[in-house]
Amino acid sequence: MGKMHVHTFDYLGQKYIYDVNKSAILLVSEEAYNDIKNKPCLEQDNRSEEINKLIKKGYLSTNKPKKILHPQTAMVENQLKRNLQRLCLQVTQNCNFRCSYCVYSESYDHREHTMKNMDWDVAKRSIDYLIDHSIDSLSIGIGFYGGEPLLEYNLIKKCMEYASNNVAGKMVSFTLTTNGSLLNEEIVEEFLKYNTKVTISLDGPRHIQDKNRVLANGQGTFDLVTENIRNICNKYPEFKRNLNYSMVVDPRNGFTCIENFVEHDEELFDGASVMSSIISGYYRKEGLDYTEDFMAEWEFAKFKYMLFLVGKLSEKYDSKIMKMAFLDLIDIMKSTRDKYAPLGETEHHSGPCIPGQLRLFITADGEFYPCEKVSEHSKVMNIGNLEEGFYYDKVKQLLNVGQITENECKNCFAIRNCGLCSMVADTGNDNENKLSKELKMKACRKVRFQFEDKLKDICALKTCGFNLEKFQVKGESYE
Amino acid sequence: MSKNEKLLIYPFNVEVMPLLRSKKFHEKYEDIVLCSLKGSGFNGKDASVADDGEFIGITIREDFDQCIDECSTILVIESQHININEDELKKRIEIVRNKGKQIIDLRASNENRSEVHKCNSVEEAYNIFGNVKINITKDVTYELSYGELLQCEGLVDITTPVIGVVGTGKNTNKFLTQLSILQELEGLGYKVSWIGSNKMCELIGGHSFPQFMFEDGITDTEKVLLFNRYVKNLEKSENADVILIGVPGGIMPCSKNIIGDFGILSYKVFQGVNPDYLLLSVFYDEYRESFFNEIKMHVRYKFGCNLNTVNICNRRIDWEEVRVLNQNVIPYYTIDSQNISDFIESMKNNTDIELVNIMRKDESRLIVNNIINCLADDEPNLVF
Ligand code: SF4
Repeated sequence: MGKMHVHTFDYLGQKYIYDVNKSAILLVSEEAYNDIKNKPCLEQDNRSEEINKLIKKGYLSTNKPKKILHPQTAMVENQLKRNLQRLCLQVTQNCNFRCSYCVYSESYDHREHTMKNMDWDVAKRSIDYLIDHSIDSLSIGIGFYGGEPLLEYNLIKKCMEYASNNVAGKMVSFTLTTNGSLLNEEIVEEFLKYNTKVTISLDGPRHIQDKNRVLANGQGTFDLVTENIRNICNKYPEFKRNLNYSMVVDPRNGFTCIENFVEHDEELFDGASVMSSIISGYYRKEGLDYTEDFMAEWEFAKFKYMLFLVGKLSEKYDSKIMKMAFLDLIDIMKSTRDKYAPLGETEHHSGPCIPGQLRLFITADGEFYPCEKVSEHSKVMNIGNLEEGFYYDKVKQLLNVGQITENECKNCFAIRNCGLCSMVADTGNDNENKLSKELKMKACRKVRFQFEDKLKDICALKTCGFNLEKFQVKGESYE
Repeated sequence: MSKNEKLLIYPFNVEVMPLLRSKKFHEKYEDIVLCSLKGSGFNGKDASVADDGEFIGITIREDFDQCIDECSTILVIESQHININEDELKKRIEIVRNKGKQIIDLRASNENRSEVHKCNSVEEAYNIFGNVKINITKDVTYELSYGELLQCEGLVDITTPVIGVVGTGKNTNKFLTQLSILQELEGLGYKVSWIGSNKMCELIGGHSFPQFMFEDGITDTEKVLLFNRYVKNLEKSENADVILIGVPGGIMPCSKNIIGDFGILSYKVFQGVNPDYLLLSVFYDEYRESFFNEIKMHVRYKFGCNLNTVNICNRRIDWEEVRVLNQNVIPYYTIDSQNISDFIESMKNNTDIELVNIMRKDESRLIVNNIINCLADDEPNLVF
């Protein structure tokens, strides 16, 4: 007798069932809730009418996947031979900042600052590789990453020129992630010419930025960066449209001051977009602790934003940072409205994309990694190089990261909204050629916890009459 | 153009592949040069790389100036799948013209001509739409005083068997399928009238899909009736054994973002002409068995006809990109034809619709055998 594939939770005194096969949240009576919780096997006598009705409508099914296999596995070769989308070139490993949490600095294992720069031959061959392997792609993109990529501005310029002159018939877009200190007029003019999108890493107001982001001599970088951007935006207001700020929020700091900074410094942020993330715990030597203060401030900010969403607070409480955090939630709400087919016999949790297809990271040495976020010292993450091309078996192994937790995934209520990829199971070790189940399980616990939290937020929003159509990003309807 | 003149096809893209795979086209144009836009990823590779089918033996180039000097005629291709810089293309065509080369331009609205058709009787309407005017462009205006007359008469019967080829969207290999069926039937000695889903059909004796189906100023009812008359006229004038109709676009939206024309054109076509045999071409996906029965029902209730065969195209929609691009061009990636064959094999006993893979050698023979079996009179004893 199979168990119903559901997850039960109570929230604000109400009882809910999340039905995995239908991808739906049900509000049920206490009696039904307890019955389902205590007798999860479907074939039971004496079910209440409420439960029988749900069963009749196709809810509470016991259907679970029998095998974990990523549906794109058979497509890996086709996709990587013909449908590469974007490259991320590590033009240099060098940087003019020494940020305490930077993946290249000492608190992380996986990257170190060296003087290694990409040479033109590697860059050119990388672009040619992209062209050669994107026959089916409607558009392609090239990203520049470092260290601080603008230290190699001449190489970047050469790459943009080369790609633009050698690709007609499909769109080519350029992106760059920088600390913002080296942007100057000449560079901005060139970026405007190529419509290059620039992401500036900025942590928050002066006291926060200067705590982690410092120059080699220990001096803070807030003034250097913000003055530079202010000057540039005054001279080239149209450049703001191409600007995006990436804020790495450090949970050891407060949250409110960051939010206030973004909402009130119009000169910097108006017209630009802001992406925030919490410092990555992966690959870090010591774990990251969330202070109680941080959690309290975060929850309060979230509460205010939810009140704004349901129309109880004014426009003034619209928050760029929170909006990004809520995108994910809106995605879930949208998907639960769609008609979902029940889980198939073969499934894989959501999360992994085909490693290398969407944003192939190529190191200064021409080695391939799935994206710029993974450790380039990790043997298991090294999926090929310019000489040999892709190692398809390794790509498939990373794509099927669900197989290392096969039994857990088959029974997991978060399988449709999991979001984990192989990076979470990577030890970052240069000798290790396999993924770690232990690390993955740790991440799983967090995912399930967060997913339940999201389900609760959805229930709260729905109860307060939140209208999905009203949710807007950048002045456009989210849909 | 004489057979030993060189033809340049530009800008080469996957849409050209059905021509390159057609005997008929090679009979007409023997010496072919293929030139793609820069950065297409085709440079230096055999043309078969475009559709991942069998080897062609022509290497794709990117050196346009050199290519044009070698050729006497240029065939300019219309492509959904590439983002052409119109100004750049016009400049190039101008250069070609100045060099005294012949130009066959297949792109839509390449001419700005305006015509006014006045007609007062159904007969006159036959005369206009009976003649296939391939150059009719968007700005043609019609004065349709015959509309009411047509409506009084209603639909006329098409007695010649009609084979319909439709798809779930653009780029589902409909054109290759039509060409393969056409050649196979002709090889068996049948005479075929062909209305092609792609303008390129004109190069090998087909009729382009009639432009009036896309014009403003004609009601949908009139379009249905006109299409019916248009086919009737073709029947009378060509006197073929079979009429092959390929319908452009898709018979339904693929998703909320990929809508095509919601299948409206095909709806109109099949209100005007009821096909005796219908083949549907679909993108590859991991369809469950129920999909084929559902689509059969969909066709039956939408078009009022039977769905006989489904061709699984060796392309798969790239849903990741659909999400990113959010535009009405279907992003896809090409997959190994063997994957399709394996899928068909796995479905073999699960659906009563014939599944085919047109990229497979000799598949057209199988399709045509099915067609002949279906169209053959299977009730010889029946008098009335
Ligand atoms: S949280 Fe873990 S067990 Fe659950 S679906 Fe994701 S990977 Fe599988």
